[in-house]
Amino acid sequence: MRKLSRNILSMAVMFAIALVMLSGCGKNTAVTSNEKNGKPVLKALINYMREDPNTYPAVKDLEEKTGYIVRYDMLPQDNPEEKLNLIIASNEDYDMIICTNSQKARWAEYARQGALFPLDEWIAQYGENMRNVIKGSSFDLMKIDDKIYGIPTLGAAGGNDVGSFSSMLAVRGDWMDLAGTAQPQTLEEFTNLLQILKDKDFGSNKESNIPLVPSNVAEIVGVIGAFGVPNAWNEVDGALLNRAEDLRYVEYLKYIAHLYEKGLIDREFATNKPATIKEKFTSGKAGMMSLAYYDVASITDALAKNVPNSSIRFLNPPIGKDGMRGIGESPNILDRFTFIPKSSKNPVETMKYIDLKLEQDTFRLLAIGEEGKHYTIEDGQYIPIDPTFYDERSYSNNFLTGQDDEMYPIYWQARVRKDQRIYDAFMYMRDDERSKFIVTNPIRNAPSLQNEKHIQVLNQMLSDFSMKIVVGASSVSEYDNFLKKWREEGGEELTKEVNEWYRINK
Amino acid sequence: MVNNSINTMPVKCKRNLRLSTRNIRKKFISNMDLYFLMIPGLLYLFIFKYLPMYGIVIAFQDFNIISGIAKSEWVGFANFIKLFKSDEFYSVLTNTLLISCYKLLFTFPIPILIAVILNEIRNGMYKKVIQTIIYMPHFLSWVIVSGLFVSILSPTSGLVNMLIKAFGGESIQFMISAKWFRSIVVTSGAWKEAGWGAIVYLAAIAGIDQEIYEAARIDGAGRVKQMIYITLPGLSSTIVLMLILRLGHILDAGTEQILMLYNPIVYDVGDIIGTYVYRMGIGKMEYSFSTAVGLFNSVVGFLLIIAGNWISKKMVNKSIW
Repeated sequence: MRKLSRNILSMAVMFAIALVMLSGCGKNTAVTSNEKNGKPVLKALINYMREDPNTYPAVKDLEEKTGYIVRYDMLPQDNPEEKLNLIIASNEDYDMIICTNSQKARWAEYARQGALFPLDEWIAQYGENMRNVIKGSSFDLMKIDDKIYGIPTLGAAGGNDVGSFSSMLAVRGDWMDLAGTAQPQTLEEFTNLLQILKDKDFGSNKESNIPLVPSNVAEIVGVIGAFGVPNAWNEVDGALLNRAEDLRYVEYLKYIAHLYEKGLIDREFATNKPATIKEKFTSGKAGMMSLAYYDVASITDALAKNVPNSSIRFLNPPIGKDGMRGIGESPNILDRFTFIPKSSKNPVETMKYIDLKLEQDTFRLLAIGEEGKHYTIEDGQYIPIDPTFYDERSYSNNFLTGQDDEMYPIYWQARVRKDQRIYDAFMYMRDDERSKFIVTNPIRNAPSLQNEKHIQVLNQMLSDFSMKIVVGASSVSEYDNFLKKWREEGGEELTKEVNEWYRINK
Repeated sequence: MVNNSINTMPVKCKRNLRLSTRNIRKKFISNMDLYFLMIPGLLYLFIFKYLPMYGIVIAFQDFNIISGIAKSEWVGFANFIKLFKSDEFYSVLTNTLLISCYKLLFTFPIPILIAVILNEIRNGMYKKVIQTIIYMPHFLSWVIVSGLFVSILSPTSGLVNMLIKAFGGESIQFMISAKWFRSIVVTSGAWKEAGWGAIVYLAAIAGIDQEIYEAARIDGAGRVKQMIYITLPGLSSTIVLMLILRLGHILDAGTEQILMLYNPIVYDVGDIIGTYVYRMGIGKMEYSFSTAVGLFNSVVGFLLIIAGNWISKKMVNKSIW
């Protein structure tokens, strides 16, 4: 009797499991088109964001306005390039993929291999709004062999040639006050400040006290400028030289290795994940980190929670030998871009959808919402309304597939004001004093180069090598060997191509 | 021709042959249900293990994801030549063999030891609790286990380094030290899988006839003697079986594990074939090259398992087939 009931129980459990599995299958395949108008459901892949994109309010508004239902998946926060490679290689049927500028080299490689649809014809046929609001010069950035393979979103710059940087070194202001030292001017003073942060241990962290937690030792913002190599490519005697080949960069590495040896930068930086870096700063263990203006609000809040009465202050870049100083620019002027892989089942519908999104009212609705509900206009300035704007539009830039190049920089005023502190930090990095620190990135406006495909590997090589030098696992004497390999892996060809472009377009 | 030769055979032999085919048919019909039961298993093997093997051909091509297998250019052994010529490959191969041998040497005996010791525990309840606790890590993914080890071994806030410092030592940077990395790999692997590995041996011990133990006790054998002369010999065929199976995986030193634990600083000692293939294939999109590496891996594994089986057949007269 007992055995029988046990059998029944196990059968019931198995039945339940089978049901769950079946229902799981059903969910994925149920909706393929919008029931109201028969438009296909589109599948989009976007960058990582903290909220679920499928329930995001701006997405709901877009759905109503355009009549298209879009299902979103996200790339992971760590190593998005690897995931993207996998997705493209396995021919997953995404209708559009929205990437940030750091994945541009990947995109160029996909386009050259023939994995993406060329869009010229469709832009001419279905892209009425697109042609009106996106500048030709912006489309030029998406050209490979004279064909357009993507829709550009330039972000705040909006096609205007405004140089800028988005991160600076930030230090705990309350610790600076306790230390009683002024802003360090020279590299020497900067080292001294780190030493004070270590010795005085203002946060009473003992063993866990970290003067500086770097996000990437290969280029610590501001510090690297003191060695004359703030950008990946810098002009030397009229030609462009990559950091990897620049002896000044080796000097920089020696300096960072020295900091590491003295315990002035995080001993565990090699095993840090992006989230751990922020956590070390906000938990009050680290005194310094590189901070982007758009992270200011979340970092300040998290820090205040753990350490009341704390404050954060930006540091001007220190001056190095021969007065070298400055902060490099972002690698290119694109903010993000959208492309359609050949595995898409509805490429034409996708183009129609992207074009609908660029219709002026729809675009404004996505970018900043409705007037009176999400924003108001005062003296010609767009001001966000608390809290609807923050709740419903904070992340809407993740959904931009192209932009109104004229209007977006204006809407941007509201977007950057989504938090007063973010706005202040943004303006601070652009005030007269800070603007002097900008070192123009000479290849900022360069189109996609043939040899761009090597960039990911080359950067990885350089960053691996830098890490080893910093922790002392390799010695500087291995630099020649590294350089030889770096050149062989495509560095030489890339340098040649970059310089050919630079000679003509300087 | 075949028919001819059968016809010229001696009559007796011919009858035997006919008898045996009839026998086979008879056996087949009488065990029909069992053969039918085999079909799903064979289908599974065919669809999920044999069909995907067609992908191996990309090791001999200059594979392009868009052209696909059908249209990619054929390059013969070019990828293998590149493989054997690269310095990196030899350092990766050495790492793989070293880590794998360390694992075999240090972690293979642990489950046997656990099983034998667990078997000696009299209190059933206590034994079950211990067993459950040591199984548990097997069900944790490497992401979690590596996180655990990274924080336990942290030079600033880790337990191990606190102990070292309490005894007056210098804190050690375990995770980025070329000296320690392999030991961490072996230790964390042993911690995670030892309890799970013991299951097979416990089952084998349960199969040993209790009367043998009884007889030994009457003859005056103590517990240690029983362990050495009954339990271990009773386990020997299982141990050999597990060892041969393990040999086939000698070039698989734990890709998932190392992918989670390593960082660029310890590539020199920690990069194994699996992680190398991953970085080449996914990171650099060199699909053909990484398939060539993977194929090399499989061929060596296949040869090792056959050699292992043959050696054990000759040496201890025990083998899988």
